[in-house]
Amino acid sequence: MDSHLKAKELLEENKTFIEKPNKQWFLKVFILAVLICIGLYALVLQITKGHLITGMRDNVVWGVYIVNFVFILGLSYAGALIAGIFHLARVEWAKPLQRILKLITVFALIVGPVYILLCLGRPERLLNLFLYPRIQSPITWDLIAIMTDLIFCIVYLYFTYIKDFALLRDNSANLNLYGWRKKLYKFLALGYQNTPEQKKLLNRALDIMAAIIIPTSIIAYSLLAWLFGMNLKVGWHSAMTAPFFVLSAVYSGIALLIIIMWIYRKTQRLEKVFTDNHFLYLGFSLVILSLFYGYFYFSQYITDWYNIQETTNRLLSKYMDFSQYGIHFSVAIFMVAFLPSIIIGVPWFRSINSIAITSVFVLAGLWVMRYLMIVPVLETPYLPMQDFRESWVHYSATWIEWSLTIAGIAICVLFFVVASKLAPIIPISEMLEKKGENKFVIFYKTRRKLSKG
Amino acid sequence: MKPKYILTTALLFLFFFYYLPAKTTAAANIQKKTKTRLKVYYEKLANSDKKISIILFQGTGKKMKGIENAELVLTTFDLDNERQLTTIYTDANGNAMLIIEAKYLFPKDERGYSVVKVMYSGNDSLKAAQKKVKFMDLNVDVSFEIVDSIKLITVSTFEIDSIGNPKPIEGVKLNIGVERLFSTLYLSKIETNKKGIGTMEFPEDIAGDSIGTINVIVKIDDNDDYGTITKAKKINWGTIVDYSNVSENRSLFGDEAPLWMIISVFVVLAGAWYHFILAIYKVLKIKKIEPKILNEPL
Repeated sequence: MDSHLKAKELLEENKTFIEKPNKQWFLKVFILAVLICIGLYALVLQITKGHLITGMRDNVVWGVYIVNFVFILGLSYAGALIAGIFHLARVEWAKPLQRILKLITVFALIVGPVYILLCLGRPERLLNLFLYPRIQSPITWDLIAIMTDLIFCIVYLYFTYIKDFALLRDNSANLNLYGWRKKLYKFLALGYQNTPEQKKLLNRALDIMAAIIIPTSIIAYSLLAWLFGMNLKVGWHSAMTAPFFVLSAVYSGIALLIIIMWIYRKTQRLEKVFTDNHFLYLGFSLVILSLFYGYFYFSQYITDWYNIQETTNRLLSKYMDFSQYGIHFSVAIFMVAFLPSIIIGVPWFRSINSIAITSVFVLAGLWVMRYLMIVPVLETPYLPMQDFRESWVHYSATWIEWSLTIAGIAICVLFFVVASKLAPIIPISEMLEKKGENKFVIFYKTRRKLSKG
Repeated sequence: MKPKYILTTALLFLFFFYYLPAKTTAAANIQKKTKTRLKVYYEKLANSDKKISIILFQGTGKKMKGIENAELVLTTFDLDNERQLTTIYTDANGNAMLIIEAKYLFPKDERGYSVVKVMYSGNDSLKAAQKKVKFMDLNVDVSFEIVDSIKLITVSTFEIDSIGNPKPIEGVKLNIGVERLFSTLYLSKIETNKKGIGTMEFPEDIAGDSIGTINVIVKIDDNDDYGTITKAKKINWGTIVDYSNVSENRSLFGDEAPLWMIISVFVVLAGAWYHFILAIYKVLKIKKIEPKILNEPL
């Protein structure tokens, strides 16, 4: 079967995603919109009444918002990093995952930074960061990194859509689409007709973008990690912060990818696209990453444990004290460092559903670990807090913060729902490329074979 | 033997060999008071104030434990008359301290010694204790001079006799050092000569502050007659070390970012954006080379 027919067949199989939305689709959008509206109401309250209605106070100045910021940006950078590596390494089995990864990257990168703005008591002063940037400040590094990464990732995502836009343009007559969408596909396809020259140009552009996205993601997330690591607070000031952040990001990214694959497989019947092998490969990646996570965390913990400084002792004792953060810590560390090895590592427990459920636990555990990295540290300053009210010393998130957290997740899901309607969630054109058709040239323009001397 | 006899025997055994001796010992303990001990040290500080340090404790070695909030009475002796100086209390570790201004002169005996007696009167469980410390008042002067471009520290030690004349003291061992952030860096040990003078050459490589000032410390450690005496004097003989620039360059609050950082950021951003623009250029070329006659649809 030639690629033209295969493309038509794949498009036919997935046309229900992209054709005119049905009632079920609108219901999904409505529910998500309601959640977003609740979040917007909470935001209005926060802006009008100030941070007093959140759990954040003078000492614990960061809470759930910053946890979300770090966590969601981690998902974004992980998406970019994994997609870039899969693309450059020409991993055949990973082709159906590419679009999901890139969508995670862009949506998370749009939603994540909003949470840092929610932490600001005087958001109008944000403008000063652009007007008077200080190159030696990690906040400036982070700003540059996020902006650069966002632009790169949006453009990279668009590049990967060009072939599918051309496919939709050429087959729009067979699809039940609105007229404006047909015009949009024509415009976005950039006149791409799969000629050898066009194909070569597009593939080269995709290779370049993948190659710059990988270091950009690592640098950007490391810069975010240094925002904490360069702070002298106990629990943050560590050389391991950046590598640990990158590892956690990749770990959470893989877990989210499995969850999204599972949802699409269950709800859209994409068993042929997201096969058992995808779950097994990614499941084993989860096991390996969980072991690395455990190793990194243990290294960090044991180093701190031998630190005789009193503040370090106070912080570590909070993680072990069941009246404070002991339960959170024990459950979260079990979920992220041990659970994948038990559920996925032992054949008796291993199944598609168990891998997906483990991923949900891993994702939740990693969020809690982020919380434990931020809140208890802020509650444990070098000089003990004295003569403060209990609510000022111990952080507890209010419904405002939880509403905005849920709203952020709802926005991400809404983006996914809309994007799935705009173009197929699987990169059809990319999947049809034959193995070895699009070779990646390392050491571009090497003129002679090195073995010939 | 029947069980009831066994039980009765066991209870009697416990009563005679455990309960009764324990009761007797407890009763004896109530009557017996614990012995207490005092340690008293005399020290003359750098500003010529005098310090009496006291430790009141019970037990020895690892069992040694300071006695908290105990009243100590300090007295001195003017010829044969005992005169009360003051009353002080110990802290949680059994330590107490009295600082006496330099202008106060302790009464002396015929040999020139002054005596301070510390007394603890005890309580229901602790025995009383007392301890004397005997010392002579020694004066230490530090002076600096440069002879043939050699920097010399000269220390003179003398007592003031009954008519107010200085009397040089020979054979006093002195430690000379400079003050550092957390402790004293000792440079040399010298001994005074017949004139009561000791000299040492000051090294050239001792770091001072931003104008080279160092604080020279002269110390007599736990001398049998004079106790511990410290004298300090400042001189700008240290090498100039300006720390302000070091911290400024590495700080986030400095006026300018270091050059390496500006170059690094520029190189990374330029490299990334160059490749980004290159990729965009390649994609835009797709539109330019769009064939006029349509290919087979995708």
